[in-house]
Amino acid sequence: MSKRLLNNDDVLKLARLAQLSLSDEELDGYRKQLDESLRYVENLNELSIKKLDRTLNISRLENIDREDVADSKRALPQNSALQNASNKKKHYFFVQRILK
Amino acid sequence: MKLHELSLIELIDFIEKKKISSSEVNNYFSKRIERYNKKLNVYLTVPDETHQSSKEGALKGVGLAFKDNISTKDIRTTASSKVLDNYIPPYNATIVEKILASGGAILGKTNMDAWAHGSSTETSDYGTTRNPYDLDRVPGGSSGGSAVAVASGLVPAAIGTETAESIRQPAAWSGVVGLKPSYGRVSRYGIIAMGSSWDCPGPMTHTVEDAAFLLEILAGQDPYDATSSPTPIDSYRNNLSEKKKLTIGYSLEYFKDVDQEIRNAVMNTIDLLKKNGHSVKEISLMNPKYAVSVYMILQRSEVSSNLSRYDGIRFGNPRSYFASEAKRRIMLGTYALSHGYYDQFYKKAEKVRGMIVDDFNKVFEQVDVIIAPTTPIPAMKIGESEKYPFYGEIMDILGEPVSAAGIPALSIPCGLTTTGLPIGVQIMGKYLDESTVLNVGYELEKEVPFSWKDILKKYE
Repeated sequence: MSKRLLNNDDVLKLARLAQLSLSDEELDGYRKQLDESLRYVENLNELSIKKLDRTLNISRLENIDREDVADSKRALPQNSALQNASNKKKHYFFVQRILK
Repeated sequence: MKLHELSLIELIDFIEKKKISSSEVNNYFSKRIERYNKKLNVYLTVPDETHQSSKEGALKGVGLAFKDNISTKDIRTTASSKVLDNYIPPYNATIVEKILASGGAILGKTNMDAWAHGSSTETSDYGTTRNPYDLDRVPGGSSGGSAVAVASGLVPAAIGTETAESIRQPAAWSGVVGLKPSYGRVSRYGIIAMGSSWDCPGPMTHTVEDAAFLLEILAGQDPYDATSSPTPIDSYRNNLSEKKKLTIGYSLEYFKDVDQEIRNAVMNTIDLLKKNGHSVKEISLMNPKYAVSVYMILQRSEVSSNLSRYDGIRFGNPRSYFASEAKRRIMLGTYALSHGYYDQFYKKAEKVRGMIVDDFNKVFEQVDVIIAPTTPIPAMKIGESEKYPFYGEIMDILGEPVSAAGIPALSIPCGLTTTGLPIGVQIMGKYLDESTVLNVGYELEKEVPFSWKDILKKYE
């Protein structure tokens, strides 16, 4: 068995960064699966890519601009924007206080 | 009259000739949904009334099915995840607007792998959709619900989405036609974003003509999607019957580790094309395993970014509602994008993606289209996918290069295995050359040993 690329602390850190909670039972499984994936993508090292440019986008387009004006057809009325919020007060989203 | 044995175009023709009304058609399919949905688990939401803006236009009031990651105003849209269990979009995706403006309607929303992460519908939080050819098997995914809705005659045609194989693979496993258009040919606005540099909505139908007809409605530049192409769309349907002498390519890299029956069926379609006067040429393409790695890195990275918006504040449930597959992908993407690993993973994958684009460009200097199997094996049993550590990647390996390069590909059924499961062949084309891809599919579908009407006898 080859060396582990990730340990459980790495996985917990990733979960924390992504704001996900993991149970203890899940942790080991995720570590193994993430390890397997990272090992698989090592096949890219077989290719020589040093001189290549990055392909950021495959739409074959560049610099798509639009007028810097608000599109009222696309804007949502306040009621619609709030219709799916589970916690709202008056006409606002209600969130936990961040600063004390 | 068995309306479910008519193609979308035949149905529209019946309505135009006043043999039947669109409400009769929609009621007919609603009744079939009531009868079979429990067995097949295809639809997550069927609105009480058919949402429609007008019966004028090319679709003449006929209702279509939409994959449940396509935003439909006032109709629940979950992406098959409990995170969005109660989400009611306040706006329509551009493609929904286009279907409605063309006289179409929304018959229902179809099941999928949660967030379109998967190739079987088994990751759906609302249960697995069944393959109509064998109820113990998966339909493929992620657009499995849309594929089965069409295959089992619970809608005349459906819309799916594909990031890598999510239209073509379920089309192949469930015996329908599935078109993945070029990236940018069809607007992504209002599709629940997954891999934004990959996502492509497209039609899933009984016939190639239906797919060409729907593509004409769906395609085109959208001011709300900056990656949508300004290149004018073709007359896809008119171009179908044009007789062309083409050069057809095939690469042996795409036949390795492929089931013997599938290999034979696809080789037979190549022989058919040769018999019809096309020239056939063996070409060499990059090993698809590199596209799998590119996909694994870039798609996970985009997933981790796109799914970070689900905070449970503005809409949806909190992040604790994410199931395991989404969590796994978010974490891998978070890792690939994190400080110190970005060059090693994300940047490298972007460079190899460019190699894949160049690889196809070079081959398309010699051939007009490339033929390959859509999947390495036929539909698997429910639960079997757990035995494969890279199940999705193995099932989608033959489709991921196309998605990485952003070119179009069409999967059509080309036969059945001895156990009676559908086999798909895919036709890949040049960027924005959907016309030639559809043209070849149209020619082939008339001659391959497959009839979409046969399975409907099981669902009278």
